[in-house]
Amino acid sequence: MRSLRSEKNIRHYKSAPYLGIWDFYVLLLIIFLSTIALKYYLAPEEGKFCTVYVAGEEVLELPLSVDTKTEIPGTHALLTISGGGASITENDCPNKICIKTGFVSDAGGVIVCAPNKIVVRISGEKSYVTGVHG
Amino acid sequence: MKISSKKVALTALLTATAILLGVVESLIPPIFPALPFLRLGLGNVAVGFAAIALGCPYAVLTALLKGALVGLIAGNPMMIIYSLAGGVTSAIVTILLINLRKLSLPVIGVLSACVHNLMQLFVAAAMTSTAEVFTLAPVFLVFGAVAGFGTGTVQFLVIRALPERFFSF
Repeated sequence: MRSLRSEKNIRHYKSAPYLGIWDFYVLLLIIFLSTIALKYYLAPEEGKFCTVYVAGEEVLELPLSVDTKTEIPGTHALLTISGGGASITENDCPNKICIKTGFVSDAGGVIVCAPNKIVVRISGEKSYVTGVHG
Repeated sequence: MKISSKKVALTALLTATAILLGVVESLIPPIFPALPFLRLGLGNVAVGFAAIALGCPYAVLTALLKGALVGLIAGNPMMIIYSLAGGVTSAIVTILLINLRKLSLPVIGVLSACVHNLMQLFVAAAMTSTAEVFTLAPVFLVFGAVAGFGTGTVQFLVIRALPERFFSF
């Protein structure tokens, strides 16, 4: 009453290696597909608001839809909002890292100026960074 | 097809093992408290074992009984629909891949767990008629892949360690 197929299966899986060459191909395919899927899944959300903190205190919140140039209160930094993103265009810090950071428009994006303790955060509609916007 | 009593007995034994594993699994606290329905799926070890040692109809039977009875014993009747849909499709995928004899058991476990979870998402989407459940898909797939690799490894070890006279006739 021996079923040929299950006998073959038992013999094969008794001696099969833990991972073979086909497994390697399949795992490679899975990793490839999941990388592509992840790219779509983690597609950056468009920023809607930018919030400015100086020394940890929130001092300014601006919508990214209106182009403006604003001096951040209490500092000499100039915040430029244009084309749905923000950048710091002028500052008196020594290294100008904040200016070199350039234009930031994705939700979750940050511009930091360490010497002047400025943090500019971009948040989207569903931001978990700064909470709920009206 | 001739049905041998030994095969029926082994099917019953494997089904009992699968139900036991499923019930024990539902007793341990959930791995992610936010998603209590994510479980390890150790019962699929028994289904895979049935697919190797007994063949297609016995494995499908094991999966059917496991899905229905674990839902009755440990969960609510709604759970039966989910676990049957996932369990039977993943059992069919497991059977096909095992009879292909190209892939090894951990990778078969990964693939069938992914099919299982995707099928459950489809059922959930159909029953609540919302597509939003698919935002959970990455969590489901990653967790399913890890759990499937684990159960596949258990299957691999069981097949290696168990003397052949226990399941070969």
